[in-house]
Amino acid sequence: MALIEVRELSKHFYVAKHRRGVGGALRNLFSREYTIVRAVDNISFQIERGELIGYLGPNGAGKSTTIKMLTGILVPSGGTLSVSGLVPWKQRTEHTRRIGVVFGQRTNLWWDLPVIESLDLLKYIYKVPHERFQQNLRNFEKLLGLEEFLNTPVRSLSLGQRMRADLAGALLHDPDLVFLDEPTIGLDVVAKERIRSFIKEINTQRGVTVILTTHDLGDVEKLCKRVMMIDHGRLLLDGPLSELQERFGGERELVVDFAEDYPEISIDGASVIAREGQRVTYRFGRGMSASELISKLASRYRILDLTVREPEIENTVRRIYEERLLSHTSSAIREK
Amino acid sequence: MVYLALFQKSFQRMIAYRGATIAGVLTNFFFGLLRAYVFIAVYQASGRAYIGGYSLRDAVTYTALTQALIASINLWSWWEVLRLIRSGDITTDLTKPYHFFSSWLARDLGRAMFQLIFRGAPILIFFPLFFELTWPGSLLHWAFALLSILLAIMISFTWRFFVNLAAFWFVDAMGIGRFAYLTMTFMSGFTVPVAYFPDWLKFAVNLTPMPSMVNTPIEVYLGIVRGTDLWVALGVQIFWFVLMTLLCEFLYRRGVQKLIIQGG
Ligand SMILES: Nc1ncnc2c1ncn2[C@@H]1O[C@H](COP(=O)(O)OP(=O)(O)O)[C@@H](O)[C@H]1O
Ligand SMILES: [Mg+2]
Repeated sequence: MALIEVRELSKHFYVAKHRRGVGGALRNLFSREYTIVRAVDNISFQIERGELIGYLGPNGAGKSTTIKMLTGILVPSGGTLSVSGLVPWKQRTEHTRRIGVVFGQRTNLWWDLPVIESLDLLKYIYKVPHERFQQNLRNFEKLLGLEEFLNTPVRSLSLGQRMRADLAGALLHDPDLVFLDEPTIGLDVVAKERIRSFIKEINTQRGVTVILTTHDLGDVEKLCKRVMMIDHGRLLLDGPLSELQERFGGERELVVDFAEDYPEISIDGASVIAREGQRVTYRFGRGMSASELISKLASRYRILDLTVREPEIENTVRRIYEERLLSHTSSAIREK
Repeated sequence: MVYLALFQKSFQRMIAYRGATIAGVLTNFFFGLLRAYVFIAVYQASGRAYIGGYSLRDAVTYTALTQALIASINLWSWWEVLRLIRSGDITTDLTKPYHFFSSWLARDLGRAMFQLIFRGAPILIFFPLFFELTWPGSLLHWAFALLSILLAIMISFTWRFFVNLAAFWFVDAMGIGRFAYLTMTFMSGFTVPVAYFPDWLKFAVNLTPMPSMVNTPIEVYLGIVRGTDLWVALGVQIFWFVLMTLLCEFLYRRGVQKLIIQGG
């Protein structure tokens, strides 16, 4: 059985509609209208031990809601889920012993205490043997550069430092599964890099299964083989990152340096988008392979050099969301 | 043990609030003097040696003790669980393998212990510079007084926890809470001893856990409650602690159930 099994999982929130004005307020007292928000809408997936999953989606897509169900702090409205054989919300205490959780916007550490004191507290909370605790702490100190602020109260840490401390805290009890909800949100490039390499390290060296939610493509590109993409509560895509590019990468570009100034350079199936002297840039769709285009060109002209440009993954994802390449129905329907 | 660790860290955490501690001691001390002078004026005006079984010295000691216990019993402001629920930070507690109520009781006792020592003791040490106080006559008497104070803090915790849980159901939980805290301040015998209340009110408040939070430990300390009454008083405190704990646990479970089903 897979480590995580999710079948037709949904979470709907009922949000009371707010009527405006005094009359509205009075009417609110007697009858309430609700809007159903389908935060997670009928999604299914399986995750195997040792995977590092990127759970990707824009703000409000339903990422945190999914994580909350997987960690046992939300009961699904429909569908089933099990994590290492447990139903998280039913066996929450048992479940929490085995997992590590970081919600990027919250902290597991105590505001007024030096970092080391909070970490020490976690040792008692998870009943980590002292030896093991020391060993892990030394290891994380090195990987995350904790020494410089171990004795600083959490309230005086920068966001990046706090996140590093929180990550250490989530892993001190050797969980084999961790949920990281937007661990890089609001961080600068350097801090992001540090956290990414740590995540990579615990996944490859310790075999920890990691589920990482993010709306930062950099995280996914650097870390994850498998991407799950969610929007409006629907799972749009679940597969390797390369597949994403192949299916939705849109048009690619070919930059060619010709040996001489040809007056006529147009070619079927590709359009010229730039021309500077002998350097010409073509754009071509997924209908034609790069080699096909190159051989066509080579049969007519003398070519000095060429490069194929893949579209930026960021653009690909933006295109998926903006142009709704993967259809989904409207997510909020009004009901009385 | 995790609860012991929570107790200890919570105590330690208070050290961050050194400035507030010093300011608190000064405020409580001067209000104490003020209240003591009011009692003196009242006793002199009435011409009576005892009011409600309290001598003037008892009444002044009562003032010193209530002022000393303000911070640890935490009469007016404790919103930690309310804020946790309202901000959603409760998720960090829900993803931990400990018992929520017990964990907060441990944290509150750590806080209270700090304040008993650093906000309570100074008041009892410096009050005798201005007035004569009544002191427990024996070590055993001290032990009973401290036990009753500990129980009072624990009951006050259950009461505050109960008030904070309102945040699971009401948007305006803080407004409700302020009212509840105000009621407690009076009914617990903080403002004046319960012994001064008219009979009907005395009867009414004795049906509630309120006097067990302030009035009881002070009367144990003063020796007004002694002999069999002492055992009864401690028994009543334990009864209220157990009952309130069960109530809190029940409501907390309902609240969490609502939270994890409806999503806050
Ligand atoms: N407790 C809640 N009550 C009502 N609506 C909610 C609640 N939690 C989340 N939502 C809504 O559900 C949708 C998904 O939210 P969320 O899972 O937090 O998205 P993400 O983490 O991807 O940004 C959003 O439209 C959000 O407003
Ligand atoms: Mg989120």
